[in-house]
Amino acid sequence: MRRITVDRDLCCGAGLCTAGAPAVFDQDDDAVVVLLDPTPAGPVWAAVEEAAFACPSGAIKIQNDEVG
Amino acid sequence: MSQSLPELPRARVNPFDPPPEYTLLRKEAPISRFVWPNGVEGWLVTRYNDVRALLSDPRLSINRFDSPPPNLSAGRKPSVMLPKSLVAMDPPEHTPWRRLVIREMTPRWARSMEPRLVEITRGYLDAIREQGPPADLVPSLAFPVPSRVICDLLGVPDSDHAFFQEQAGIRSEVGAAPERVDAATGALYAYLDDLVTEKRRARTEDLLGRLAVAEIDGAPAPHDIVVGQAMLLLIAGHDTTANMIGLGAATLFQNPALVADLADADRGAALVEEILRMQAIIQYGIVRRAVADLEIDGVRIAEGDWVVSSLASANRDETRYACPHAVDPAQPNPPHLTFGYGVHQCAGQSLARVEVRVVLRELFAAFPSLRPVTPVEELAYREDMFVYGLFALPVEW
Repeated sequence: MRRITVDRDLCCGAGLCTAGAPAVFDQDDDAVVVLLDPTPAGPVWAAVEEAAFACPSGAIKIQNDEVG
Repeated sequence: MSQSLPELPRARVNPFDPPPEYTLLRKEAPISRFVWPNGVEGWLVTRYNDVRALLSDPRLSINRFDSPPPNLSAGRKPSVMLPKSLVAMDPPEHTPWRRLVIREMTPRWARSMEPRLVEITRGYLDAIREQGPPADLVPSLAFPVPSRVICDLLGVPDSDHAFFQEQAGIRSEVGAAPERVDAATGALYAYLDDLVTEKRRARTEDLLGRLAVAEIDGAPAPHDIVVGQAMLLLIAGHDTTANMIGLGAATLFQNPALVADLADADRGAALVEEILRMQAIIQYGIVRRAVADLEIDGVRIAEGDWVVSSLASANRDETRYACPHAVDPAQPNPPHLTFGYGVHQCAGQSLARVEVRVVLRELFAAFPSLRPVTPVEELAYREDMFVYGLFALPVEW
């Protein structure tokens, strides 16, 4: 099963993820990323992959869990 | 031997494309040695993947206080040394400062600014209409709109806009004497110095008001660094956005069929991304210094080496873009690097995107018969300046 993780210490607050996949990512009052849904439904994944690639600080990772 | 090294390519064959040497470099020498006019040598990085990798590599430092940068510009850069700001801090020092600034500039906040941007833009368009054709869009629209927006953002009082705009304008003036540019920089610095003091007293609810009373790691944010951040926001948010507006208008004069895209928010946004990709206006790239040995693409970069990442070249990488040298909003592209990459990626990028889209949309909607007085290829461009753009864009309608 694919799972999203975010590193809030790495996050630099650009917010590109919130613009690309607003159902999955949000920003708190300090603009730090908030993960709303680590395992979203299928159709959202393309936007999540784009968000992970665009993330300037490398704070978004997509992992393939061995056990689903 | 430094005598045999080339300099950074600067001469353009046409104003809408980077110097042609970059095409050859991407193909044959993607990471190559070069020399600055003052004799300092460095690495020039030209491919998309390498630029991305290096701009997010913590082994490259942005701190120009510990290691003063070589002279890049052709002599127009002001010589006034500004205090430390975000663009001279590495993490972890950078992180709390960046967060203080960027929470004012998220995509959500930028979208919420759209009505205000429309209002500001229409004010200047009304003035252009009243004055009648021909009009130069650079001083009458491209520069004043971002200046006004920065004033709003920083919390500069209405009564000081004229002063602010005048001094910022001198800094971008064609052929302004270096002493005049330095004097304007000094005047803006002194102004912001006083404004931060006043904001700290009045505790206003704007970006500067919050920065003035902010704490960094439990201690009050040092005054001179707050003023430095304010100067950075002013400088970074003004020239850049202004020149993107001018280049955006010129691009649309060349591609009139694309103007219709502006009417739709999503298509307009995609068009602006393409204009941004085509015009990486930080035209000489981004300078960093290695603080450790590293290897990239089989090239060894040693601690202490200077590294220039060419955003303009990366955005035209033939291996990453299907249609690298034409404005094509329909092509699925990897994100351009015009705003840089890594933790120093432009803090104002979301605002800039909305600002450019709104100004271009309102401009072409207000004047449907808008056209350049002279062909845009024949205009004067800022080829020798840190931020690329147009010196003037005379239009009629």
